[in-house]
Amino acid sequence: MNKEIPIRDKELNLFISTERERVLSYLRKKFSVTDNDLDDIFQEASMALFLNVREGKLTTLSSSLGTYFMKVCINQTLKFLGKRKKSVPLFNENAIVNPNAVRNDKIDELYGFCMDTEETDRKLRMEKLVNNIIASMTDTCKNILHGYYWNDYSTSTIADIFNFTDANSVKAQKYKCAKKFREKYNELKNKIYG
Amino acid sequence: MDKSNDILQEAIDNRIDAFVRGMMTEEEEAAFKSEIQADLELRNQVLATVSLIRGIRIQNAEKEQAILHDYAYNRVRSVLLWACSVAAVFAIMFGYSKDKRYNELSGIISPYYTEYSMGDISRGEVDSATVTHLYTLFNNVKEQRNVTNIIKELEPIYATLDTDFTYNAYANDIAWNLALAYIKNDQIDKATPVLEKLEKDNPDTPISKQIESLLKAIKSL
Repeated sequence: MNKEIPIRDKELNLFISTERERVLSYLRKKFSVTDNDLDDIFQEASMALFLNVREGKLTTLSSSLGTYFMKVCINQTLKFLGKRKKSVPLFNENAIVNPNAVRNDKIDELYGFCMDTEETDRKLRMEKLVNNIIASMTDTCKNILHGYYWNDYSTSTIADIFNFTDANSVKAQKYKCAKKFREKYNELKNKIYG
Repeated sequence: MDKSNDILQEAIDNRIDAFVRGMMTEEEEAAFKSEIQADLELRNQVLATVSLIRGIRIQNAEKEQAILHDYAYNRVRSVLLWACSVAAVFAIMFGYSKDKRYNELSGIISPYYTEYSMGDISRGEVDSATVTHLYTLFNNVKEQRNVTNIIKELEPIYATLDTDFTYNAYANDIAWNLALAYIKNDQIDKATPVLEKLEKDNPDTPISKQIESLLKAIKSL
């Protein structure tokens, strides 16, 4: 059952390959499925994603692409288990995410409220500074912060995806990562702007 | 000290989290904002954290847009290419059928053209420059493929022939060439009354025979 995915776009290809380990790690923890079956499930889900992207069906996603893809994979797994007449666990795909997603308008509101300058040039330099600090973070920090603030995954989902002991260790790690970021950000900001 | 700081900071992080997820009431938001306004240190900490959240979201939004937008763009491009191909086929077909019609009409009127010589330029009251211009228009009915502008110039002159006798000496030529231009331009419905009037105005003349045969030809179309 090895279907070849005719993916032409390197960005989508890269996205799928990046998501692969995360998705499989999560599915392994949550469902009783063999690795071979997981390969097939992932292949089917990738094909569904590819077709939906190609047909332009995903231009108005209500979640991140990663979260959407995770839900597709979970649905494929449930479908697979149903077909094999295995016991299908009661699973609410929405439970993987925080019910209150991060809102861009609220971020902009708080960001604008705290911002101490109106200068566009300075704002742009500070954005660049933020990007550089994020880029210099460890993969663990990037994964957690990305999962939490972009995918809106719950801390327990992040724990399952990235093999943390539990939600609390994700919270602790998330706090450390944010703290490191703040220290670096304030240090560099003070150096540049005094 | 670090421990208590961490507890405090974690509490702030939780409030930031509640704010950006829209989980605070209006009162809670207002209270949080006034605390931020009153405390520079807190403001810096909140700004740093919100900058982090904002940065992560902007970076990821750009990455996802690159995936989704590229495909949407390619899709639009293929639809446009498809539409262009269909349009090109139609244009070719339409152009072909237009060409076919043009050749048919030109074939009908080609025996009826008259060559106007610039030497013959002093009939009646019309000055030589105007006659030269008229003759050029007449000759262009034969020479030019697009006769729309010729029709535009001849129509108002033709319309006043019965009331303004300036062009009286050229009335038949004006009517005749206007009719030929109409036919060439596939405006048979306009050519017919012009020819019929010309025939009526010139009974039992060589021109009436020509008109009769031309009318027969265009009615058979």
